[in-house]
Amino acid sequence: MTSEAIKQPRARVNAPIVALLSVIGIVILVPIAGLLYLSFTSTNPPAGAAWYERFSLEQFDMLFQQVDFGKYALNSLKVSLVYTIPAVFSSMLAGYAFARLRARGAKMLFAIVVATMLIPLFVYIVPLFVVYSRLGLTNSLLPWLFWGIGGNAFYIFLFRQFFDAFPAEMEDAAMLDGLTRWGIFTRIVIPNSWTAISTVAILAFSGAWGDYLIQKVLLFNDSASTLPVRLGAGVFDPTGSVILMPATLAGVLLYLIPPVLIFIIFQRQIVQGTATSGLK
Amino acid sequence: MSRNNNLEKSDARWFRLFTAPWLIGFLLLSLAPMILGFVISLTNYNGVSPNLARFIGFANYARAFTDPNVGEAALRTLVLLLIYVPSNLFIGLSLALLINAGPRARGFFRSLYYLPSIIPIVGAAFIWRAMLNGNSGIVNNLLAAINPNWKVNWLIDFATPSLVSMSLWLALGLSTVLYVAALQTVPPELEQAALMDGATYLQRLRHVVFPLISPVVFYQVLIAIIYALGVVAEPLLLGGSSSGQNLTNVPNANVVLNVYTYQQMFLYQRFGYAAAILWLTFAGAVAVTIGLFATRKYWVHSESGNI
Repeated sequence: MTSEAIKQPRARVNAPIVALLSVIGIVILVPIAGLLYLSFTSTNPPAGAAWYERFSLEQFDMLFQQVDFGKYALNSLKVSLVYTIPAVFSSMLAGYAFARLRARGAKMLFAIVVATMLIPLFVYIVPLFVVYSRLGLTNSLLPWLFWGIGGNAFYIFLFRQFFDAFPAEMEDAAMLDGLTRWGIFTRIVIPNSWTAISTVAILAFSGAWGDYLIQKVLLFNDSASTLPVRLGAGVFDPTGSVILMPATLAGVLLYLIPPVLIFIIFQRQIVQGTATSGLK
Repeated sequence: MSRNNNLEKSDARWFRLFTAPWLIGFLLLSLAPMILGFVISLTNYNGVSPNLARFIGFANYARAFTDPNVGEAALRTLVLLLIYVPSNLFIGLSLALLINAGPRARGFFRSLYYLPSIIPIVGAAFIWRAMLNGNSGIVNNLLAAINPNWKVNWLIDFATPSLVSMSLWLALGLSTVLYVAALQTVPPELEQAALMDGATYLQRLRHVVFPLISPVVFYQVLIAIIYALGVVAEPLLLGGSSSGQNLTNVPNANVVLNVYTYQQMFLYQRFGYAAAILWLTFAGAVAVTIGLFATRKYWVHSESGNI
């Protein structure tokens, strides 16, 4: 009876709350609606056309005339994959080690992992640019390969949490069967960790795909440029003097498709993955 | 016993092997660049010709302390921090409380609000420019429908609010999701008990809910501070006018420390000076972080002591 009495007011406030949540949701989506509207409308619509009569694909036409979109998209894909694949593997190895293997100094090393999580990459911008240009590694994918191999503190943290919550019995049994740690890792841990692996892979890929500054600083040659670097410079008219905002937005819209698609497909996992990361 | 010992020894060996890629990466890609950055900050290196670079001691640091632009940029960074961090906390927590209060469709709203967080920065910046630019921005067009004389150059005259609103839009999903997760760990019995005792909503929030989620609040405040001190691509991409990307295009109000550093590097080729300002910014960030940790004992209730 008491629980009924408590549940009652909750049920009543529900409708206004949902209404409020919906209004806020619409406000949050306004910028995205603006992006869609501007990308799909004509720059010079016929006079007196209603908003729905302005639909046009001319911004995309203009974009493809001015920008070799496929080239930059391919470069973006390369950068993202060259980073993601080793980053997932290295971070998983380290995360597993921190969760399962006892060794002296492990605590201190993990403190370093947590501390480096708090350092933005911009702090390294001067030495990074100097070293990579001295080594001739600007406009190359190698820096991303190195970063990938080095792993990422946040992903290590996520993997450690995952393995902390993951029962070790199967691994213990395999150990008795004479498997080494490496054997356990490749034959038991990896096949049983697809949720964690895909969550981190999604985060790493989206992170590299969406990053701007480091790519702008290191990939400055047109042939090596990625989508964010090229689009960040804006799409200009053929004379090169006027920025075409709607055509730029059309490019931005296409650039957003991979992360949005990934989000729609894996939203549960992404939201859950980030939600648990903040709790411990 | 001896078997156990062997196991531990081999564990330690595997630990070193498994953490080696990260550790080598940390040494070569984080620690070494930081030290190198410090060495560069003691020189007048111009980024192009190392032969011309010479050691000038702490001259770059002395210069930074007397450069009025650095002082102003530091002040702007601080203002950005002081606007962004509380707003981010307030918005994230309010949205999470709302989502948590509506028993149905929780997951739907959580995902809906998370959506902006996946938008890359270049995307968000161009959306903001399209909405706010002075000539043909959506906002000005809407305002013109009400009064044709209303024409505001948002990106220049309201540069900081434009920047902050974009940053908040990008971040609100993540903080909301984290706060929702935290709120779900609050046992309903506790809230109900307080309700029975006649506690008002705000009292329950203050004395029951907040202490329980304070570790997450702490973590979020920390992340927000680090973000605010690291802001650089956002102002560079937002620019000020509707023309293309240009390093000098950032309106004064948005020239925070990192933007100033970036300009020193790529506009004036003062790599040594830029490295010095970076180190000072980093030291400031460490000081703020330590300060935040020092406040922990007054408001963060934690059993584990973990972040």
